[in-house]
Amino acid sequence: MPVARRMKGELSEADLLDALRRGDRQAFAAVIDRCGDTVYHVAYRLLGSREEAEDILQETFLQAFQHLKDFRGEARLCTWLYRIAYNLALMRLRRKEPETVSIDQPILLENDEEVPRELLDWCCLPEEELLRAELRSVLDEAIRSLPASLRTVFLLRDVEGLSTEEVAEILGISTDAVKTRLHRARLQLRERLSRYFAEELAGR
Amino acid sequence: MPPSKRCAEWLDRISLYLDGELAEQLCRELEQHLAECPDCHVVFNTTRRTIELYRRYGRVSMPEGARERLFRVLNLEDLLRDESGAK
Ligand SMILES: [Zn+2]
Repeated sequence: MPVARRMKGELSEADLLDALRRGDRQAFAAVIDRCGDTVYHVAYRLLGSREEAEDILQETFLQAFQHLKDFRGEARLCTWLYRIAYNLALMRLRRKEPETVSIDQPILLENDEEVPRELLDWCCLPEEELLRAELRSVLDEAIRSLPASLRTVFLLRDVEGLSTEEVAEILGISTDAVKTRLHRARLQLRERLSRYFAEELAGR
Repeated sequence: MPPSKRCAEWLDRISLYLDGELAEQLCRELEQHLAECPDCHVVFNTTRRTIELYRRYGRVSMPEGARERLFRVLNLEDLLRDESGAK
């Protein structure tokens, strides 16, 4: 009896892994549905294009399923997949924009973007008000403007809700670096959204 | 007007505070500062709101078409048929 639908959220990590190693095809489908969205999200936010995100999605699962024996089970299965996706996307990004990607180098300590300047308090505008203001494209634009090293930390921690430890594992950096980058990403995004809302409200 | 040095130090801690990682005593001092300093209060509120908005609206999922093509690439397309049969 096919178990695809049943397998999705419920199966324990260990059982899922056993099934994968037996070559159970339903298990492969279950992994796609468990980790695929975040894999796609990471690739999309790094590369900025749906086509390329889909390429990375396919490469990630092909590579992971071919190298299942390399997975030692120290991290969660999804974490391992996100790491593969991140590395593949990063490689492609470096080919595309070799000059702009300095993801492993320490980022400048002082960044103007992180000194709060815009002090309009838009926090409590009603949601409909924010939504009317083309919120989604504003959010997209703001996150795209972050340096890649901050962007990935923010999307994995705050949008996808992964733990600091997991993000450190995926990016191959320390937990302290994750925390620092997360804070900087938040302040930069706050600044951009604030600037947007200030203009938006002034224009009325 | 740039925030004072003291403010900068408090603002450096708001992420730890929001993530529940700031020491108890510092939490209370930060709350005290936020109550007294309108500028930091705004930065704190809007930072928290920024995170909330991204949590709610910032997700990107693989499109249905991409999921189907992925199943095909992995020779799992018969499972897609099972799914549509099961609906
Ligand atoms: Zn202050």
